Amino acid sequence: MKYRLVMIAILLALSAANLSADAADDFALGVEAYHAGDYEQALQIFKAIEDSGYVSPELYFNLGNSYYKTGQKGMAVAAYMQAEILSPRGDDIKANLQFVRSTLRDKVEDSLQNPIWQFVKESSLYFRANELTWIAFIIYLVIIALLIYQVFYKQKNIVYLLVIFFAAALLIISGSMLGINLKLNYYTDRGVITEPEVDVLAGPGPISDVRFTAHEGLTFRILEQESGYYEGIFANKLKGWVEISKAYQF
Amino acid sequence: MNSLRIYILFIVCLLTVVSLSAEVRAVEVEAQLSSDEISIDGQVTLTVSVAGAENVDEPRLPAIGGFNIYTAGKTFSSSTVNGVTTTSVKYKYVLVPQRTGNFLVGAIKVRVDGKEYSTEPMGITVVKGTSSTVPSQESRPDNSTENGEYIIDAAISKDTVYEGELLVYEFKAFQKRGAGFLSDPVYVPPSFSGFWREEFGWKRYSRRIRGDIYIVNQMDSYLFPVSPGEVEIEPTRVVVTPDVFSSIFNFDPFDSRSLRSRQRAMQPETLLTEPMIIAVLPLPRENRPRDFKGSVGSYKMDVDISSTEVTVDETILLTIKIAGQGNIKTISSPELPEIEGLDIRSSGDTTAVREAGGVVAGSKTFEYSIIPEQDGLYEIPALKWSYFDPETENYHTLSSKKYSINIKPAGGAAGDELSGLMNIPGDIKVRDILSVKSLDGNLERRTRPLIMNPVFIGMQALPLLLLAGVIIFRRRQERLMGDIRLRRLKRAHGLARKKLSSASSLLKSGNLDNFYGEISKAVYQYVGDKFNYSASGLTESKVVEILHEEGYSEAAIEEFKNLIRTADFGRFAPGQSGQESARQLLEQAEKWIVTAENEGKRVR
Repeated sequence: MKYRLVMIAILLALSAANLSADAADDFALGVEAYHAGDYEQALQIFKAIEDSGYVSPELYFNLGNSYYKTGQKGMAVAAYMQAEILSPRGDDIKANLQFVRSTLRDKVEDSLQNPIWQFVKESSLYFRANELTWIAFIIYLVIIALLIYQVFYKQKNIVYLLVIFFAAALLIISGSMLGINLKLNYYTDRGVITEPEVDVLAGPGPISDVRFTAHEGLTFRILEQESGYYEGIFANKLKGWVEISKAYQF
Repeated sequence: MNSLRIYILFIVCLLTVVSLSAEVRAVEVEAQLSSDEISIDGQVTLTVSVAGAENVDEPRLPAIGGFNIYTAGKTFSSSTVNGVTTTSVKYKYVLVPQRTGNFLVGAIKVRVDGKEYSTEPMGITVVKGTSSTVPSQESRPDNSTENGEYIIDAAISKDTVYEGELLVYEFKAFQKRGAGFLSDPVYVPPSFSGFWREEFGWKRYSRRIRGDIYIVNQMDSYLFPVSPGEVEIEPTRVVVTPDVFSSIFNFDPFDSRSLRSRQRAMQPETLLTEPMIIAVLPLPRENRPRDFKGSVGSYKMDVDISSTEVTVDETILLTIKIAGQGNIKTISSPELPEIEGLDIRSSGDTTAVREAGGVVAGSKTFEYSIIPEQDGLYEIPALKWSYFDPETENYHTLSSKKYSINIKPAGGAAGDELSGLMNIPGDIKVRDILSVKSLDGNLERRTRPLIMNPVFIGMQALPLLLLAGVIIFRRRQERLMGDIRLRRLKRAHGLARKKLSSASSLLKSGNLDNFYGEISKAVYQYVGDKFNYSASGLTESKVVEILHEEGYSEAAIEEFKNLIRTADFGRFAPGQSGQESARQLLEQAEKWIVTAENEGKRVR
């Protein structure tokens, strides 16, 4: 029985490795198609890889490029933003995202934010969620080790106490950064306008007044979903309802 | 004589009234074809009129070989002229030929007030080729057909338009509130061939018609003729199937209509609107601008440039927006000049179209990237774009202003002072997106972040458990350190075992002299530790006393006595006891320690 389980586990591992190798081969084909100028084909390949459940910063980066080259700027912005979550310090991702944004009709500036909050947010997004998890976990282990040492040796040395205090502060900071990162990257529904021009309405229905007009590529945070409309809040703090078929949630 | 005259006058008047009354009641049934000769690709309307009666069953049409027959609705009219009331009901059918030849439309039977009437048979010829008959537009704008509970109507905003000018085809379907249908009516719009079409979805509202409330579904098709000439808009077709069950539940036993006609009413019915002919005029050739590309309507143009001063390694974005009313999607971009030193490339266009007060409005935006190839001063001339306005029947040309662009050599400060559109992190300056990347590592399966992994979350408890264990251990250790009695009590059994183990070693090595002493020490040490006495001060009688005080059994006490006496005998009379008796003493000591431990637990 044990032998069978081991065999099944080995077969599953081999099969997963094989699938991953196939996806990597497809990825290379997508890159080839892109270099050959067949952007539509490249897009199809990269999308198929994503649909089969694989992710990587390079995959989303290439998807963004393929979307941009096939004229889908909104989807390109969404793909680059997803790449940014996986590789937050990737300059090439930032470069392409900024380039595509520079070609958009709407140049919405972030509304003024508290500089401390802005710093905390940017610092939290500088790391991947898993990086922050490991940082916090290691600090946590260090604190536990220091406490065990304290149990045996009952240190009253001020330096020792400062080290414990400093480690605890670091744990709180890294934990908070992890929380902010998770909230912004994983627990925030974001949307991007995918149609050339979309009316942003005062309510969820075609009879509602038009508040303003948004153009392809403009991103927003989804607050609610109702009767085929997203309620979104845009970077400049303007709120409004957008028809679901004219936006992409990511 | 006078009374005779009055009597005759009265009789004459009475006869006149009776005659007039009889005239009102005269029932006339007539069938009429809109044409007796049609082409194979045409269609003919058959109208069955019943005048002078209201209570009319639906006509029973004979089989007409070579034709498909569609119900096209029923109209009811009533008028009173000079006190004479005329009522009439008209049933309309559309006959669509399936093959050429001469056909006979047999007598059509209609039951009126229980009496059956017949029409005269009619002949009809179907020939090859294109229909020469122009469909009648008499019924427009009241171009409606109905089945009583469902009425359709179509209208056009104009019947003469310029090529490319907007024409609105308005289709309305009126459904009586509460009317039941087996399935949603099937709407088959015309093909609108010869037109560019825009639609913005159904409008829904209600209207009161002849005292009944109808739900109106309206579809406006915004049409732009693509070429001059006469263009036909075919009929809109709607197939409705009345609900059998609601028909049964609404059965009126006093309704004189036969069950057969009721069953027929439950069959799917096809309603058709009238076809329409549109005259499309060509656009005038006089004063037509050279840059005119066919846009008709009313427009304005905005041209915007992202910067007029950049370095040679930066890109400028040129945006041309044409907004107004007309066929927005077919708007072409103004011609851009070729300028040596500047590479002007299209970055695509975006279109926004909406319905605005019965017209099509919106904008089309063309984007161009201007990529400098060398530094210098350049001029983008005024861009021109023309359209034809059907209101004024004139051509208009829109023009932008000229732009001067200063391209500085690469590395200059100009770019940094710009809007920052192309300043990329890490001071990378690009003209296009960076190219695709190869895989750096492996593709990973999409998973949740580590912190959401239940195994990892469970792992967080391990260091805490370790800390808790260490604290408990340390506290226990500290408690033992501060309480000698407790410490001795806790270690009594362990130390006794240790001593017995040592005695066993002595036995194995044949050192019987020390063996008996070790057994004795083990037992006294055990009792001393257990009850916090100094082992060296204990004697057999003292131990017996202690055991008695602590509530140990007589058997245990007796066993202790035997054990100690045997050990003492061995110690003080060496050579009297052999190896075997020493081994038995060891077993006895081990057994007594176990007994004492158990008795101790019991008495505590």
